[in-house]
Amino acid sequence: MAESGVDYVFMVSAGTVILLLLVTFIIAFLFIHQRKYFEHQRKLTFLNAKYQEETMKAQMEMQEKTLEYVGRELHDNIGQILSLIKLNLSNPEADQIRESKNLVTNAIKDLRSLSHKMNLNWAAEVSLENFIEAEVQKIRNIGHFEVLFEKQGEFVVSNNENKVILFRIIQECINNTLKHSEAKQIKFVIERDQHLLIADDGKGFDQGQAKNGLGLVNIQERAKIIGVDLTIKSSMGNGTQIDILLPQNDS
Amino acid sequence: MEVYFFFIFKMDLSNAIYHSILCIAFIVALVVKSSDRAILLLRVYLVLTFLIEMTALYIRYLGEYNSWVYNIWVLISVPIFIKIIFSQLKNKTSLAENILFFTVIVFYLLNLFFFQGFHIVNTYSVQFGAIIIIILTLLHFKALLDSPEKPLIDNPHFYISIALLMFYAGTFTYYSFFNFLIRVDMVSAQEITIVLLLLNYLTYSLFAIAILLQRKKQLTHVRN
Repeated sequence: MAESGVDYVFMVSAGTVILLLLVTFIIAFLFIHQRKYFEHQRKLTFLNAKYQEETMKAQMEMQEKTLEYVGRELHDNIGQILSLIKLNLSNPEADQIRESKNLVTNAIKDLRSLSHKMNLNWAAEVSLENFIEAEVQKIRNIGHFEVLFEKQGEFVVSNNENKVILFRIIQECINNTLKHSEAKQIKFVIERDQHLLIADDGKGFDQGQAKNGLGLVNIQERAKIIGVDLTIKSSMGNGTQIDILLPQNDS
Repeated sequence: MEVYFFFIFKMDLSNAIYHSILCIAFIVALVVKSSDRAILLLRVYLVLTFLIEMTALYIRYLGEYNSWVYNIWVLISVPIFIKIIFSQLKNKTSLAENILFFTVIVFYLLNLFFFQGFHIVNTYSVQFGAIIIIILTLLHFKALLDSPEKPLIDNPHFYISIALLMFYAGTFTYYSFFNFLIRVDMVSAQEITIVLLLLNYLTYSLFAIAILLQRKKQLTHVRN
């Protein structure tokens, strides 16, 4: 009986120890989870702030680019037209007046187009696909490159902030190609499943060396912030391929 | 101290408290609607448990042996909990879930029909089920740690896992000593069932809290 009494005490003690261990485990678990939860919240706040900052930056850059374009147009196009009109009107004859009238009409048209581009909501009103087409047209207008544009699927973003950041990513990629690639041909392919490929046949670059140059880090970071999968493939002499894959559930 | 539960069943106060808590949990399970799969299964479990307990009480009231009712409850409860916990696990495979689910059922049926039988408590089944549930709840805790997006205090599944871990750890310990206890000291064996009752208070209260929390979450979601 004495022996069974000892066993009984042992059993109760074992039960108590197990219970205490369980309670300790639960309390420790709650602490660890709470710490992870706060860490996660801090990370989210940081990412949100970063996202806002990048959106602002991208919007400013877009405005800057637009102003640059408008300035160039005013100088190269409207300025030229007005100079011609001035020249015509210095010796006004019937033909010159008629031509001046046509020139004024053209200038008005160009100014309207420019004012449309100056509209700050422009980015919100333009679809990604139209934006790429416009960029393609701009490169074609330069005249140094053979530009191919193919559309096999859709490339759509509904969130305006994300769209502005994407505009800047695409512009930056194009800018790099125009400046550094020495390419003859640039290809834009909108593939299936929200996928854009920008490829050139230029000199390419060593990805290891150019890691921090060419604004690649900035491009990658921006892509990451809006959940875009951006891959750059390049090597010396083999051109460059940039794959931009939009998230499937864009928001 | 003895009281009458539902004015019919005479029982001691601790048992009456247990049945009252179960009754509240049963009403919560019946009344509070939820679209969450795990909570839906929990509601089914609570309804079944209440019906089984009432049947067991009635059989005892008739003066007959009611262990077989609890053996059937063991057969039902663990597979339901396997489904509940698996619905919350990440990187799970339905194959693993099905294998575990059917292994438990086959083990229980074999034990019920060929080994321990209907008329004694199926301790092997209880022990086996307890080990599986403890492992699964630990896996669920790991999954909760891996995804700290939401606070635990608002997570109904956390309450379910806590309840299951406490209940099955206690049950496992109790049944590990069950046969020894009966052999050595029947009175002590009966006294120590109070631990199981306390665990039951905790478990069914936490289950009811989990269902109510899920409802609150759903309502908040709809308002937002």
